[in-house]
Amino acid sequence: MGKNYDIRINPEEPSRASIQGHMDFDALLQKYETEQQKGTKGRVVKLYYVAAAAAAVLLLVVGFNLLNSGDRPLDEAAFFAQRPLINPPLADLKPDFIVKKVKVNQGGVYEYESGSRVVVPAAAFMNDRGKLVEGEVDILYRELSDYVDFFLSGIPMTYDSAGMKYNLESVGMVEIYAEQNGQRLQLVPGKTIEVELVSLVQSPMGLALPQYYVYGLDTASRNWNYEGLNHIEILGEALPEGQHANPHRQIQQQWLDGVSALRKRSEAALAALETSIPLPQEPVKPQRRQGNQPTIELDVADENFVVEGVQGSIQDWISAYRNAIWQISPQSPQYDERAFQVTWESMRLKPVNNWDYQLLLSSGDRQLELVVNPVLVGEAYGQAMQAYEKAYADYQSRLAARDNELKQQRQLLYQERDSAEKALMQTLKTELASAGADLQFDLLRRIRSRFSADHLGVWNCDRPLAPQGKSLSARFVDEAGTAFEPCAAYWTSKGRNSVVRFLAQESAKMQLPSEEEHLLWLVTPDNRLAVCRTQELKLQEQSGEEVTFVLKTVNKNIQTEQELREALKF
Amino acid sequence: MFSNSLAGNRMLVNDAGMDAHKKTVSAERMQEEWQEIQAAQSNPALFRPLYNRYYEPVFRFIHKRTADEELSADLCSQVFLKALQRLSEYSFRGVPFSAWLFRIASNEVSQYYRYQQKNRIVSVEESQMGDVIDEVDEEDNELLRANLLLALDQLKEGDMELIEMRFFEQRSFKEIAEILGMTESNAKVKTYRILERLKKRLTS
Repeated sequence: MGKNYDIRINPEEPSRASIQGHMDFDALLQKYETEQQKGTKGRVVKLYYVAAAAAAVLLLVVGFNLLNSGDRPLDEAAFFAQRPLINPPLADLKPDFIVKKVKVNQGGVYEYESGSRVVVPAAAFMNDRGKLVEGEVDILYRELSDYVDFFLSGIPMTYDSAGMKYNLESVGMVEIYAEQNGQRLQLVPGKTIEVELVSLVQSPMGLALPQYYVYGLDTASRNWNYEGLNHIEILGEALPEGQHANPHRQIQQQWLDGVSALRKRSEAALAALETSIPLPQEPVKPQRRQGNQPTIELDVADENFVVEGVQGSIQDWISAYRNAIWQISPQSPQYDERAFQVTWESMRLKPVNNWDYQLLLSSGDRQLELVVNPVLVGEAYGQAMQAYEKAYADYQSRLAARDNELKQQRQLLYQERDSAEKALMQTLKTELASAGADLQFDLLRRIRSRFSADHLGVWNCDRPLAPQGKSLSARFVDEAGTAFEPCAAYWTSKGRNSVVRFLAQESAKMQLPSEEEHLLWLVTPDNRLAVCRTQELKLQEQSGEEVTFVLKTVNKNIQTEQELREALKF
Repeated sequence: MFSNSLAGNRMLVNDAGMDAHKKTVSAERMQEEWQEIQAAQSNPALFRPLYNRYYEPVFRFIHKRTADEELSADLCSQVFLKALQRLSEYSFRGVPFSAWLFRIASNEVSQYYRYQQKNRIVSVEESQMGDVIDEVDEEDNELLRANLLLALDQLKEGDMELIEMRFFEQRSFKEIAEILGMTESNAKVKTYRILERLKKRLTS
């Protein structure tokens, strides 16, 4: 042993298995958590006296405030902060999840009745201690489509951005979770679930859909996180259901059918156009032989040599590849070198793509399959490159001419379609005018929103709308004129796919767009619904600064979603 | 009908996989790893993949300096506990995460020997002694090897660490620089100077 170091020559190294035997992440995590808690306790002790003094001062301040507060309204933010972020108001009536099983090592694609699709990647789930799970996992999925769904789910539909509150108008929301043996799982970092959400949106005819975005609900910060733009694809259009009283429905439907048939024809014509002018064939770039890959020489002009499936004439192919030698591809099946000492009786060559060829050698019962690539050496390569450059320039010019021709013909088709659509619109206008109606009506659009969910939970395709309209000071009473105890209440506007949750109490501050029809409701302490309908709201709004909302109690316990929808109809 | 031209060509396709002993990581891999670290910063349970990846290299690093499996396991556990506790302070500076772990491991080993007041263990393979002798341009023989051990014993702790990492652990200068928090050229210059000093001692 030296004076300073204990130098060991050739010490025994532990085996990998032996090292792995010492690994125990769970124990490490537990130790870490224990140490963290110890740290917190230490701080608690140190702060004990300071905290006691602070508490005494706080008691004095709170006591003084209580004595002076009288009937001061509750703070709405504080009221909701004390309650769960997702707080279903009718505990017995929550939208159901659809449960599908996924094999973790395979992942899968799942389609739902609405037309929505969810793609789950393999090895995507871990438990709350960060360990990958194996076996089968339940995927819990539900779609929330309208204000009744949003209300039932208890998911907040307000978005706080830099202190400014927005109401979220949704075109579709989904909740996705994964569970194994009843335990909630998390998505492995870096993995995403691809969601194609199909939903229906009602919007005015003749207007494009506004820009919608994707937000994920962050339950830790109790706010929505902006995730990106929502790229919407329109799948179809129809007249909204339940408009049987609409006297102009037949005229509108005729126009819609005409537009739909026209678009189908136009799409078919555009598809046919693409194949009407053949795509020129791109010449194959000659390749030089790579230094360390084995090669074989094949006499492509030999009569026993069979070439299958080449594009163009076989003579052209033979003359193009006469000077080529054939390099065995790294992707070729394994072979025995002794195969090159065998005299093969027949050879078949078949292109797999422009570069790889399948070579099948046979002699009696023996067969050998290789993947080979044509390569050139020396002068042959130089000559082939010259020919290729010329052919490639020719190919480019033919391709440009084709593109140009297609562009002009496409333009013509678009013009035809646009003028036919204009003609249909003119007919619609004329027919509606002669029936004494104007052109404003809504369409129900079937849309598809696509996004990548990088965590499990609630995802909303929506747009934030700043509160609009009249600021009101409101009170909420039942039909007997008795004020409701402060509680969560909800309102929505007709045509706006959203629900605004607020605190109903004496002198509640509200902002309601006055030109729209609204519905306002709350759940009473005995679990009944109390509703204020549009007409009453309008009347009350005209009566001055302080508005009293009279909510009629629904005379039965709501037990099904259908009953709820009936109660919350406009 | 056909003839082969295999002369000079390797028949077997090379394995395109990564060298198992490769100790450097690409910038892309570091970026991916940084995302894992950020995830673990917000949830310590997500530290598991990093733990699984680096437990063995850190264990071996410690074992080279302790030659005791149980002690290595204890110190290794301490290294990962400290890493978890300090993870929130870790920020990405273009250096692999492993370098940060090796630095904690090096400090843990030094601290252990300081408290125990023992001479630190340095593990050397016989063949690696030959590498050092080659570097100092001397002819390898038994006497020289014995003298080299004496010369190595005279090295300061920092100098021994450099020689140890470069010759006894076969690390690149880049990796040594990352672990010791110096530039690559500084690591090269320092190693050269230490070798010069060793040469002087061996030839005097």
